This record gives sequence, structure tokens and C-alpha cells, in this order.
Amino acid sequence: MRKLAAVASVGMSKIGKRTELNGRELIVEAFLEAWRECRNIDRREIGAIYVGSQSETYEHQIMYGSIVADWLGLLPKGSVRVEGCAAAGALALRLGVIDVLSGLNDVVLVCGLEKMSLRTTSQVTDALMAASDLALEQYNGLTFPSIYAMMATAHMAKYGSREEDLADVAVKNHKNAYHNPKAHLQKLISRDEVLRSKVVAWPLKLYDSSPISDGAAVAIITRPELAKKYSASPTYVIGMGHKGDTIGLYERDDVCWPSAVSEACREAYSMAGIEADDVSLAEVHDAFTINEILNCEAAGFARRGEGHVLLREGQTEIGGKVAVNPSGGLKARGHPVGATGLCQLYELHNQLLGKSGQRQVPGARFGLAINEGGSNSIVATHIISN
Amino acid sequence: MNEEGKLTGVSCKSCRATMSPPRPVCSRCLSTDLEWLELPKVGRIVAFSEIHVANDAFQSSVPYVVAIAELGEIKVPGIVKGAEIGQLRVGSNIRVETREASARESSTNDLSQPAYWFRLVS
Ligand SMILES: [Zn+2]
Repeated sequence: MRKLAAVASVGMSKIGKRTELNGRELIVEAFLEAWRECRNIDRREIGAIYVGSQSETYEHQIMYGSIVADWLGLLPKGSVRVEGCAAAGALALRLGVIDVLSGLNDVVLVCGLEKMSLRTTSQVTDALMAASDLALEQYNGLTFPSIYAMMATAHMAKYGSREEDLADVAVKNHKNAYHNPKAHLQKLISRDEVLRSKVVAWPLKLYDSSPISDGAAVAIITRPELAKKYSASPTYVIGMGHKGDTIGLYERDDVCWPSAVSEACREAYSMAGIEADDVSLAEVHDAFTINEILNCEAAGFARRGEGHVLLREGQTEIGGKVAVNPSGGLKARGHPVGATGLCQLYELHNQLLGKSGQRQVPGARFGLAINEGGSNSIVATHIISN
Repeated sequence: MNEEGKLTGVSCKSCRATMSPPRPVCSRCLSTDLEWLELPKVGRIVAFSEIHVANDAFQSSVPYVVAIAELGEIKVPGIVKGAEIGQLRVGSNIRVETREASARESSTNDLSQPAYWFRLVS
């Protein structure tokens, strides 16, 4: 197993409706947590900054890297904004890993953020639709919930999954988030509450959908041989994958098979020299509940068409064969779009160091993160080890 | 969608791949020798949903039913007019209806006026 890069430390803001803070202040909150965990580090050693953010629609602000570099006293270091809709966070991480792996820099800062709650649900729906196909999806009034809903109706018809299965993903992830003090929705819900909640795009309801969140997350990435210099408790990136699929869901042979997720997981497993069975901890993209079921299949935790069976057996609970979304996932931890990939890293890092309190996954050696943009059109995966 | 109001794709003369929306190059072999492909006006539903929360352009239409329909070798998404969600199944047959050319011109760039839609057929 080859260590590609080390995660010296991580930080994450409280996720939620953070009315009092703007995007740049959220990044500061996340950064200060990560910075406190580092040692023997001089800010001048940070060679570059990668910032994931989805859309300027929310704050009318791009060039976030420039702001981060200024506010954190990192100028004149250069930065780049990374865009891949909801995959922006993991793509920023990926670029940070590639940077230190190339030998160009010893240390880089990777961040992600989104400040969404200033906008109405209709405006957010529209901003997210920019990640779908303009020619046929946007012009025909499709929304992202409806695109995932169509994956769900196809899966239900083909494999017999049910609305109750979708609801149970939400119930599980809220249960996990209940023990996550930084989660957006830190409350327990029942299957009936999910089924009775307002329909967004049938069969997906309000409680099948991730909330509109504000938040930021960061990680300080360094070369593996420098890990112990900068950190008392580093983790390591030992595998990563990066694959794509059509922007339009309708262009695919099988609309309920996220092939880019499958390919990106296989690439990451192969790089890390492990198999799906070795993974007992995973943060997978669950913008909508159906997402988690499909991604469990694509990750190889369940056979194709049996993601809901794995869930029914309780195998994705903490204590099951593979704890899926112990943080609460996008569903309940929250989904500040550009930050999400790094929120996933935040959870895996702390889990692998045994720092997750009442939602601790026992004995995990490897953690898998699946982050996707569009309708699994761009996928970045990472395998983290302690 | 072409000028005659027909739903179209392209077919590659070199490798016979079919693609929609139409594009200037074959995505499989990069040939630019393409011909128009008129999509069948009947097909079957492969996935569907009913939208209750939309963006501003479509919010006045909620709830509305959408689907991905398979028209021959090609799939396209669209609104299913005159149907309720309970009537739809994966496998349901639909036909494609298109907007009159005059109406299309007046509604250019109007996001809430799709150029075509589906209707369930028994
Ligand atoms: Zn061709």
C-alpha cells in the first residue's frame, strides 16, 4: 500500500442555517480548527490553496481562493476555485493530493464552502439545475430531485425497492447525525414522518432530501514523510478515483446504475490494494435517499440491484458490515454543496482516529468517501487510512 | 427539435452510432459525417416522477409529471401532459406531441414552454 499524501489535520464549521456568517467567515471557522491541530508549521509553508465551491448564484462571489489567501494571511500564494457541482470538495482534495504527490509543494490547503441559505428554495433549485443538461433537462422543467426520483422509480420497478426503503435511509442517517454536534439536522425522525413529509418529486419527499445548508470544511495536506512533523495524528490518502458519466441522466443505458461511481470506486480500491469487503466505514453521497442505495451497490457493498436489501438487513448501520454515513451524510449532517466532499473527509479522518464519540465506528482501518456532482456525472472517490 | 417540429437526433454514417441532442461530431468515432435521425413519435417510459417543487419558471405548473421515454434507440426526458402520477408505470406507452412552429417562435427562450411533451396512450 502506497501513501499518496497525508491529511495533517481537518476542520469543519458547524453545518446549518448560519444566518450570522458569510462564506468567508465559515471558512475561517473551519480553518482555525484545522490549524490548532497542526504543529511545527509556518503559514509560509502552505504552497497553494484549492477551494471547492459550486455556484456564485448564492453570494455573487467567485475567486474565493483569493479571499481565503488574504484572510488567512497566506498571500502571495496562489489559489484556484474548483468546480464540479457537488463534487467540488473532493476534487479540491484530489488536486491537493496531486500537488504534494508531484513534489511541487510540501503543504497545501484544500477547502470547500457554500453559503446557500440566503436564497429561496426555488432559487437554489435553479442554481443546482445548472449542473444538468440545458438542452433537454432544464428546458423540460426537470429538477435535481426529479432526476434522482427517476433513478428511484426505475430502481423500484426493476429491483423491487420501495418508498419505505428510501425512508429508512433517512431514518438511519438522522439517527447518526443525532450524535453529531456539527450536523445541520440533529434530530431523530421516524419512517412515518418521512413518508408523510411534503412531496418534492415523487417518490422523494422533503425528508428524502438533503437540506439547504451553509458550511465550510478544510484539510491541510502534506507529503506522507512530513506527516509526523506537522501532526500528532495524521491519516493518509491511500487510493483515489476520478470518473465521469453523461451530464444528462436520459443519455445512459441504465438510468439506475451510477457507472461513474462504480468505476471510481474500483480505481480507488485498486490503487489502495484493497477490496470492497475491506471497507467498514464509508461516507457516500446521499443528496437524496435513493443516492445512498445506488452508491452502496456501486461501491460493491451490495450486489447490483440489492442496495435496499443491504439496508433492510441493517448492514449499513454503525455496527453493521459497513457503517454508511456515520456523520449523518448529506441528508442530515447537511449539504453545503462545495464543502460536502471535505465534510466527508472530516468524518473519515476523525473516525479513523477514534474521535467520533457516540457515533464511533469500531475498528475501521479504511474509510471510503464517494462525492459526486451532477447526477453522478463527475465522481471523485478517496480511501483514507490511519 | 428541428424546424418542422420533429424530435431529432443524429446518426453517424461511419459507425452508425445514434445521439441526441444532435451534435456536430460523432462522440464515438469523431466523424463529422452525420445525418439527421427522426425519432419515432411513440415510445415507452423508463423512469418517471411528479414534481412538486420547481424553479421560478415552472413553479406555476406544479405538480407536473415528468418522464424519460425510450423512442427507438434514443431516450429523451419530457413532461407528461394530462396524466397523474398514479397512471404511470415503467413500461407505459407514450406518444410525442410537439408545439406548433408559430408558437415555438413566440416562445423562444421561454423556459416554461417546452417544445415537445409526452401523452400516455393505452
Ligand atoms: Zn461514429
